[in-house]
Amino acid sequence: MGMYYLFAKNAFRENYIYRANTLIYLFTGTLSLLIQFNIWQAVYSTQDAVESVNLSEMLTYVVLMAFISRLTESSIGFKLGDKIRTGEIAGDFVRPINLKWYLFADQIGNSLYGIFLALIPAGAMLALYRTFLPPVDLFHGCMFGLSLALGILLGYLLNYFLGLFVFWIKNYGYISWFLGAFTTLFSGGAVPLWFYPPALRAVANILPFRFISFEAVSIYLGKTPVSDIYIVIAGQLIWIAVFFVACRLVWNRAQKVVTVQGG
Amino acid sequence: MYYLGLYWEFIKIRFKTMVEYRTETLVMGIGEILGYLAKFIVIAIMVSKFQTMGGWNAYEIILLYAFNLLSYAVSNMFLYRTCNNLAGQIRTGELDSVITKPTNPFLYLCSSGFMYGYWAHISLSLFLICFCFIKLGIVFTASKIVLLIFVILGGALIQGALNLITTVPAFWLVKSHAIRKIPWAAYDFIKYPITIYHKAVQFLLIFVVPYAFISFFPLQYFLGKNDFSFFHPAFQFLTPVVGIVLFFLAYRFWLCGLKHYNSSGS
Amino acid sequence: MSFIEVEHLSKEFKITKREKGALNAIKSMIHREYTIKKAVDDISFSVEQGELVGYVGPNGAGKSTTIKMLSGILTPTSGKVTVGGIVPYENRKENNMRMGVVFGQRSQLYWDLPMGETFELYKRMYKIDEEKFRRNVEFYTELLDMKPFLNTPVRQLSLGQKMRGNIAIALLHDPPIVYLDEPTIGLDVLAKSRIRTFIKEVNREKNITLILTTHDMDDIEAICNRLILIDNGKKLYDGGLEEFRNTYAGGNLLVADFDADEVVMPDPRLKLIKEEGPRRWISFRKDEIAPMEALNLITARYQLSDFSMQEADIVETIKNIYEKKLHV
Repeated sequence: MGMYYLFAKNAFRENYIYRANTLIYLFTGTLSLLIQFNIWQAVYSTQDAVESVNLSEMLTYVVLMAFISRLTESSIGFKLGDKIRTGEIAGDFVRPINLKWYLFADQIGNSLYGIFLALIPAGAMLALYRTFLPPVDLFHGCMFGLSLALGILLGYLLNYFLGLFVFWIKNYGYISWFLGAFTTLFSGGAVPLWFYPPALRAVANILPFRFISFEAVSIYLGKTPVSDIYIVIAGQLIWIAVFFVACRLVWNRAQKVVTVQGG
Repeated sequence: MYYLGLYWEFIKIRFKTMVEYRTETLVMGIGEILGYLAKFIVIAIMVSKFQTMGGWNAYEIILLYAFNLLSYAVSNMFLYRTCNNLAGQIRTGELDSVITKPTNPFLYLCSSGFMYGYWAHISLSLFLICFCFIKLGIVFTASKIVLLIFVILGGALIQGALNLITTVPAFWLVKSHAIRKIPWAAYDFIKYPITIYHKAVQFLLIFVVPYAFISFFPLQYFLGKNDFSFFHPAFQFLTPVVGIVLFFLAYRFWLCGLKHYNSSGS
Repeated sequence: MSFIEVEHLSKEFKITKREKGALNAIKSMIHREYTIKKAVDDISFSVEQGELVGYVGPNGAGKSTTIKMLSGILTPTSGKVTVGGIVPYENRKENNMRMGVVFGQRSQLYWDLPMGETFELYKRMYKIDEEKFRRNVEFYTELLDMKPFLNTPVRQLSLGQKMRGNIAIALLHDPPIVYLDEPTIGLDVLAKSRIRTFIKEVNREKNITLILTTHDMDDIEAICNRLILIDNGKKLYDGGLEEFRNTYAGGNLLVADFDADEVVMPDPRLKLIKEEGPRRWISFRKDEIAPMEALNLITARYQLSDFSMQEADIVETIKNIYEKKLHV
């Protein structure tokens, strides 16, 4: 267990070393938030609330989603792709480290650094706009935390699962574009799912993407009725189980492919 | 002028290479189309929920994005490889192979690195432009088409210039790739008409990183709008000019970088 | 005027001082401190058409810097270079038209193109006329035995084949001067030998001037007729390869451990070229004095506790020169 902690710490530190990069990411992160704030302000200039969501809630939504996207941001697909392409993966089969959790720890390290990067733009926005809502109440706050943790795990498993297909497809680039399209549409990143037309909302509901970050934020803002909160958590757990099993199956298949082809 | 033939030769060669990898190019392109389509859909959702953004309806806003995407693609066909690989080429000394040839290094890099992969972006954006123009009842006249071409080329020059300007620091700095992200950060502003933003932001988008000239101002003309906030109506025709000036500056900067390379190696 | 004139050429680089620690990092953002490194220090030489020059030095000696100035990649800090009447770093395009470069470690071929098409591309690039092009392509593909793989895409070629391709395209436009940087690196013995023979042949046929930088002394021995040695930016030796061999590396070496502290040569035909403690290296030429006679002359004067006779070799000699044990 301690080993994984070290991996995470290492990933964090490697990010820290490139300080100029940090400054630039801080800048672009702030600008990105600024853009979204401006857009929503323009929208709300003519109305007070849309679908019973007001400006403050919307701005809080934006900051939270930006934050969480840092935690769920994943280059696992590409990393796996590289490992497979260079043959490094053969080593991973033999080592006593579980590849899945190693990559997860690596991602967490990167993510935590990402939080640090996200804190400053968020702080800047708060200073400028003075609007960030706390969770509706303690209960919602806690459920938010739980849903968030589950969402991060789910996001990771989804990425890992898709990453495994590199064993067959060789180039993760294709997968990343398709995944990107679905994420853009169904994760609630740019536009909250509350504002979606019913047909698209229905599609989004049967897909796992909303459970990664959107649902957690929805709970935080109190937009999910209390009775539904447990359903959401259950949904997350179910999807996690689904992907966990799927990963196992695909991984086993992949091992066969590798041993047959010789890497 | 003789060398134009040579550069064209490179572009043809790249085509042959692309044909060899046509499956990859095709599949990647489809993935990219889906990716951008998703972004367009999200914008459409946004606009249809809120009826208008700054007085622009859904089709008009999609046109904004389509103009951006098209000029981006045209610019990157030539510049993606050139800008992306420069830092690496400096580091490995590969750049020496380029500057010892009897050609203009910049044109050599742009033509030998030409990328056909942007077919996806170009098809999608052209389709959407035609689609929206038709839906909005805008008539295609010869002069409109010519102007459109100039606007897209001008927009490509603007994007290319900013790309190039942020790539040139590689001649001085070791790890400069993050600088290239800076102009990109402001890019998302132009998804929507700049009039919805604070005056300071508008100023940024017109005078600092002139993104507003890529789509917002030219579309004023095509859509028959008068949305200039406090800027002069002539701005709607300035895109090619801004593009040329900016690219000229970028190219001079590139020459500075080369000169530095000549005096201090790698 | 020689074909290549290098006059008092110098090149200085500013190296920023990198200090450790956060405080110094901030300081360095305000005020940069430099050290000046003289990579090339007042070098002069001239090269005639058709010479095969070996430009040799240890790593960091300044040889690639010199070549970069000759090929127009770098601008000198002071001094002047002319190649064929042109100043390379002032008239780059013109100079590039009349020069060929082979980078041993980096291929200049296009990954996906077969050799034949690459030739066509270079024909265009260097404005080679049809007649000359046909002739040269025939000449080089024949000489380098490239016909078997002319239609294979470059990415499928072996290292040796790629190197032959690189050399061919460098020579295609009949440049009066060709710079070769480690041209045989990574090649097997057979391939190396083939390339060396080829280069000599081309020089014979077309009187091309060649400047070769390499760490492989066998390359130099096989190809060059002139040797320029540089170290720490300064020229140490400039003259014929044959002459070098005979003076410093040639003939024989008597290596002996002397009991005496002071050793003076009893005969002008014997040259003391290196001393290390009791051990001395004495060079002489077989055609001037027989080995036994040399030994007798020495032992008549001095007591030797150990000795051996060797054929001096160039590599060892050059190594000694670099290590400052040998005086040139």
